[in-house]
Amino acid sequence: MNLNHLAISLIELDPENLPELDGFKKNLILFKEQAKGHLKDVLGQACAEVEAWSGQDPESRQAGIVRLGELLEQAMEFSGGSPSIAKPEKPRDVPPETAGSRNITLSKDFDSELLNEFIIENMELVNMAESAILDWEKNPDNQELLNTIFRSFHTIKGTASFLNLDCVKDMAHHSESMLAQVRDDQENFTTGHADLALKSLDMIKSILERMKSSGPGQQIELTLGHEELLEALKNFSSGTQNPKVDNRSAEPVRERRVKERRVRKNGETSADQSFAASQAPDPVADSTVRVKIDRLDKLLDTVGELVIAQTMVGQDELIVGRKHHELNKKISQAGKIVRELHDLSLILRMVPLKGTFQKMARLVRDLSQKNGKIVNFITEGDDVEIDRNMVDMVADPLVHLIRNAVDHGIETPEERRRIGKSSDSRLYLTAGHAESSIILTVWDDGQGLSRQKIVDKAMERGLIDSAERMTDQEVWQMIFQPGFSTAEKVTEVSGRGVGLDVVRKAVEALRGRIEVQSSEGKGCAFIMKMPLTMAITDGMVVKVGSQRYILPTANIQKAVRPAEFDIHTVNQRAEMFSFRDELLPVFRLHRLFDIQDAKTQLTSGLLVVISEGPHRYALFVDDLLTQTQVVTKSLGKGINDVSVVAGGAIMGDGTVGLILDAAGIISMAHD
Amino acid sequence: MNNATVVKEDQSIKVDHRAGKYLTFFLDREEYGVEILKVQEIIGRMPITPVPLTSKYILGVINLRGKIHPIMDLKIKFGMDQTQITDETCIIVIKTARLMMGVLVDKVSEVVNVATEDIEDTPSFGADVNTEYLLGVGKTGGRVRLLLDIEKIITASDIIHLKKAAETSGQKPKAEKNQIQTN
Repeated sequence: MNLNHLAISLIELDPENLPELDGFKKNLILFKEQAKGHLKDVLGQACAEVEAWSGQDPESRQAGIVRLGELLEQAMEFSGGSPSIAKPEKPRDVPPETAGSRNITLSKDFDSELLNEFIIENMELVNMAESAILDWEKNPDNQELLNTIFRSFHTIKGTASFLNLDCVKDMAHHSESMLAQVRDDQENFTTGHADLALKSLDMIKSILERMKSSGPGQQIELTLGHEELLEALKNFSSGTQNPKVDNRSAEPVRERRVKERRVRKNGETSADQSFAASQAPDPVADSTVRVKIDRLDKLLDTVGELVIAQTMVGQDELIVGRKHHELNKKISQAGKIVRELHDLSLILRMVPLKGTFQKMARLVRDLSQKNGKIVNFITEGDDVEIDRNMVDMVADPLVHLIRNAVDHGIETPEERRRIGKSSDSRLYLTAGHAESSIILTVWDDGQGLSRQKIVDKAMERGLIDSAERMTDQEVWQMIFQPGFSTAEKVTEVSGRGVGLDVVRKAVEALRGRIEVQSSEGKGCAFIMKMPLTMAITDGMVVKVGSQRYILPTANIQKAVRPAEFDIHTVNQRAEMFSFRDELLPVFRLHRLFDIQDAKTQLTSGLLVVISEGPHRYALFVDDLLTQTQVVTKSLGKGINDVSVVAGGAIMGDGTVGLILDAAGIISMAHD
Repeated sequence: MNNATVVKEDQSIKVDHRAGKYLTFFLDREEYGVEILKVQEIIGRMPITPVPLTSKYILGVINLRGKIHPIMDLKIKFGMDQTQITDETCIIVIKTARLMMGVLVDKVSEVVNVATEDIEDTPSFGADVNTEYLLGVGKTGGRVRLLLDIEKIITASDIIHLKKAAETSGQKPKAEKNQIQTN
């Protein structure tokens, strides 16, 4: 590693990714140790900068990265651009790096469609192999998992060589050969094998991702370390030859494997064939079709229109008013089918959480290795389905929570033994349904939250005066306060609080809620409850004059017809409504929106009590009409983004209804 | 790619880029034209849902086969009287690369082919009349048609200024100033 590489990896640093930052720090320090004279001074400053990171939030870290960049630039000047400073060897016996980075060119002979197919297909294979490796690590004797891994690498190799993508092909090939040593019992399986195989999958994945953003005939740059990894794969040996010691495995299994292997050893090609033959059909392999998302959306739109058209036919006065019994029957029959079609179309967008859970499994593996903790990661309900658009949004808070749990929540094995727990900890990630919501739980049996520490911190920050009357739940809620996390002490001692406000925000963006349950010394659980899909909003239709608006049910606490004595005025202008001993500000929708034909007498209309985050207020409307479920749509570009309107929805009569944004109303009323 | 080559050819044979087919329509008694390629469809009037806090010329939104599109009253935009709804009132749905928007017009007239020699540049009227939105004037069959730069009209920057105004209405006066400038 020379200064250049250091600078490049600095650019790629993600200020939120702590392990990555840590790795960078180590490299920098090693590098400093080898430097001389003035260069060493500059690098010393850089190291000081890096040291400060651990106690900072990502934003100031970002600023730190910028400063560091300047320091490195200085350092590069001093070193006269000579990249000759020896690189600290990685612990593995990797030969000195050949070329830092290499470019490969995608052949022009293949059109972008073909390349896309290749990318999608191989991404799936990579993911499949990754999850198989993670499982295999737990049951090294499972032949089927090993086969899956081989199959994936083999197919990747095959398709890559078809596209002349040598970098991918070699990577897959060497991984395959490395694993073959395990398969052929020349070596025992070790985590080293899994490490390398996972690394090569990461490498392939990153190449695929780069390919995604470029087209035929374009160049893609290989990541640093590509060559090293190849070499490591070629030379890898765990030093655990002689498989006889493998006495854990049940003998019958071994024998069967040996038999199978004999068939394969007749040569490469026949081995491959026997591979194909041994691909026992997955018992629950669903066949799927890949559909372009815009086609799917179009289909959903059209079905939505059909529902409306059907309703309009059903409500036509010709049909409702008179007695066409036969016609009525036919129409209601058609209506049933249309509704069924609508329900079907809605689940088309749903995908299982499996992929997300898999990513978490990988995360846990890497984190626990890094922290020297033994974590049994147990998932449940990875077949629960969730709206496609939400999958990525769900992953972010999960990563945060799992990282928290492994980094801070779970104790080190020694610590666990000391306090009488079993040295391997458990971390659960479960998903399940409840009504029309999905519930995700991250639960660890670590040290839990410390009430005292949190209370102390909150008092120090002036959030509360005394915690005497606070329930545990109220105390736990405080860890979601923004800024609560930046306090280093709480983060490290109580173990929680790293970016939990970020988690809460992410969950709220999904219209969900997050709760904590904790028992000190025993563990901590984060429970997230969110709707199955973002596409559908439960709402109440309210009437203001001749206008109708939709209020999200999630924000509505209660609707009341106020009595005279519940209303209090301030300066004869602002109004307040006393609701359960609490005074809420009254916002009149007709005034905010300047609607002329609405009711103006508070006592003749309705006050809807809205809660939005910490805020509560009473919204004055004429009347509450009906409950509805609507599909949220954008109002279209070309119209200003009105913050009070969250979107539009097609109503039962085919007109557009506006969905109001509870937070937007507050900010509007305050202006 | 294709577009680029077409443009190149056009320039080489010196055809006015404004020449082509126009859909013409009336606002009061004035006849306007929009490039036919930018017209998605013409629909009759339909219920429009007003959206609060938008500019006056944005009448609201409609549901067009499951998609929501905003509707603009061109006459308000041009500083004329608000459109009176009659049986002949139509919505022309304009589609540009960026967005789709319906414009309300009094009456749709016809599709005409405007050749290069029929197009004149817009004369200047001074500060009173804003000719920024006009591509030129087309004179065919003894009639004068004002050729609109419809893309410019529906993406005009005053929309953006108003957006800011809606977000922080504390800055309303400033936004209004901006509007005057852009109009």
